[in-house]
Amino acid sequence: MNNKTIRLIILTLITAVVISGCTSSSATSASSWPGMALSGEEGYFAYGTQVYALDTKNGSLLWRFPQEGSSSIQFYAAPEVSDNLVIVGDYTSNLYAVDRENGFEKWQFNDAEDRYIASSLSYNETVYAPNTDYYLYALDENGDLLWRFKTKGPNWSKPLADESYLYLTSMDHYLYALNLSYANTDLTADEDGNQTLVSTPVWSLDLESAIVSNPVMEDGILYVGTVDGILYAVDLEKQSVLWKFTVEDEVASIWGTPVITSDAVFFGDEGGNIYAIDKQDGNALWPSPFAAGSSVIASGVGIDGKAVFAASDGKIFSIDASKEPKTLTTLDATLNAPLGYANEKIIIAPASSDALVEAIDTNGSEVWTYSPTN
Amino acid sequence: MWDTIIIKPFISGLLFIYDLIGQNFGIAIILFTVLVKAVTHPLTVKQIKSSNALQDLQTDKDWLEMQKKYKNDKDRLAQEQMKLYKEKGISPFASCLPTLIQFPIIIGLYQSIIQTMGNAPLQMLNLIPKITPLLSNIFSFLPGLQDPISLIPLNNHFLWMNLGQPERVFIPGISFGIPLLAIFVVITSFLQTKLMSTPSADAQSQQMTGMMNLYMPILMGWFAYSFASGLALYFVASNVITIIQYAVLGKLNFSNLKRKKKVEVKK
Repeated sequence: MNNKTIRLIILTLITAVVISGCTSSSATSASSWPGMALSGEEGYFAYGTQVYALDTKNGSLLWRFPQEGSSSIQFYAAPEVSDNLVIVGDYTSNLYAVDRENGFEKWQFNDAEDRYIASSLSYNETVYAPNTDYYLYALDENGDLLWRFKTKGPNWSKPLADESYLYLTSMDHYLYALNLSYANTDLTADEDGNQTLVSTPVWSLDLESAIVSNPVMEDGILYVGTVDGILYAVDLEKQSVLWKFTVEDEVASIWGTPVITSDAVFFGDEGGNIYAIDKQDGNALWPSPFAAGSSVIASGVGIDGKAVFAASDGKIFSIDASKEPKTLTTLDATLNAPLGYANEKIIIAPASSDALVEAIDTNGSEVWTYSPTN
Repeated sequence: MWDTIIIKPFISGLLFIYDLIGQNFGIAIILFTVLVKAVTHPLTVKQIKSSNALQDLQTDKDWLEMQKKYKNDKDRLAQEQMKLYKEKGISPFASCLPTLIQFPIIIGLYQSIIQTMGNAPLQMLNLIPKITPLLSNIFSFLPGLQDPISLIPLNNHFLWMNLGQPERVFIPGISFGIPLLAIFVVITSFLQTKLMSTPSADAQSQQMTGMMNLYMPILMGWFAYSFASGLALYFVASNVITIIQYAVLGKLNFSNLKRKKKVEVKK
């Protein structure tokens, strides 16, 4: 090989590296922060190639799924836990149900055409699984399709249910109310001729912007934030907006689930502010928001009447309706994953080089950490 | 800095076109690529002219004599070359400067297309702060324009493709998907490099160009095969527009498509 040929090969390799470098973070790798679900004594964490079941008392590993991870399967959606199953979707298009006791696979649902970003909901022996292919899939406890409903955009939010309806917030700007179950005669035929489609929701409400966060429900009111920085309180019985609150920040998107206490609704935004809102009238409780110091993406948790949040720079702090903040700890990690609370411990999924999961007590002292080992 | 000067305006432009044409991201990518190529067209013309002048100089009698005369004295050769450049009114950097100016624009175009396709939480988190209502405010008199943030999520479906995913066409009876767009990328990249390369008298240069004509399309095809199809669509649009641009300027070398006899390389 002469010099020019070698130079050409080097040039080609450099081009490959440059193009890969420009694209790898977004065009190829679909990445996110860990998905978390806590139930009883256990915590389930979906991150990268595996789902980890941990004992939240001491952080010991109970099982992981699949036993051997493969780079072709990526998990980021929060798992959903039923009596016997842990249900989790991956970033290709598969939904898995595994035995809660031992992590052995029970079934797979492969009809979706895009990735699972939202957590599923298991309610009354039905699994409701929103997918980014615009569909919400309703499955029986064996993973067989019961019906599906098509929205006008990808679905990134976990549905909620009460005794009457299922509520789905979508990136298509809408809140949908659907029946919990449908008789075959209520369904219309899809393109394959199968009677599986729910053609119209019971009702829907245009919230005017995309919704990427999980809603929360209390006393018939659904609270949810949008990417343009509006927190909505929707009266589900009246099917209308009770109030809405618009944040002041330039970068205002709301990613976390609001925290509801007896006094207020607390939420954070991408601009790094925490707001406390009166549940009754939607007015801010504070003259100005609390500046967290960096973006607040993670969903917080309510503990003893206070809201606990994580800022993306690693700071974990509590705040109450009187705007008294208390920094619990600061981790050397970017915190975007939701916080959890179990066994009097705050569970955090920093996914840093130090730990995938960490538990601190309510004073901020580390109790245990978990890092996956091969 | 990079985000403020390049990425934010580009994302604004992409979203503005997307909104203007009825929310089709595929057509928005194509039109935005056309627009950027049109804006940088004067630079492309300048670059072509300068490189042609340099190319012509290689066959100039004075140049050839100089090469022979000072072949063992590199410093003197460089001095004489600079003198000749001055005499002929050619700047050796004139062909580099337009490329240097275009380079960040092309990289910015490429990055903004990728970022606007954000279809996972981290990507969306990266995208949202870069969405500004700059253009929709300026053109607020146009009917039906929306606040760009309300355009999220973008409609990623274009023809048979999901622009956020690698593209495959499934044909009944064939168990695997055919990467049609990646094939288009290979063909258009090959045509672009082949039609645009200038003939060289130097056998080694000719060999190098020949290898480039082979490697680059394969490399681009591999990227198109692996990455989101929105990026592959950009590659195809960019290649086709560049070919048209050169055709309009009369700079396409169709003779390069003909099979040529192998040139023996002198060792």
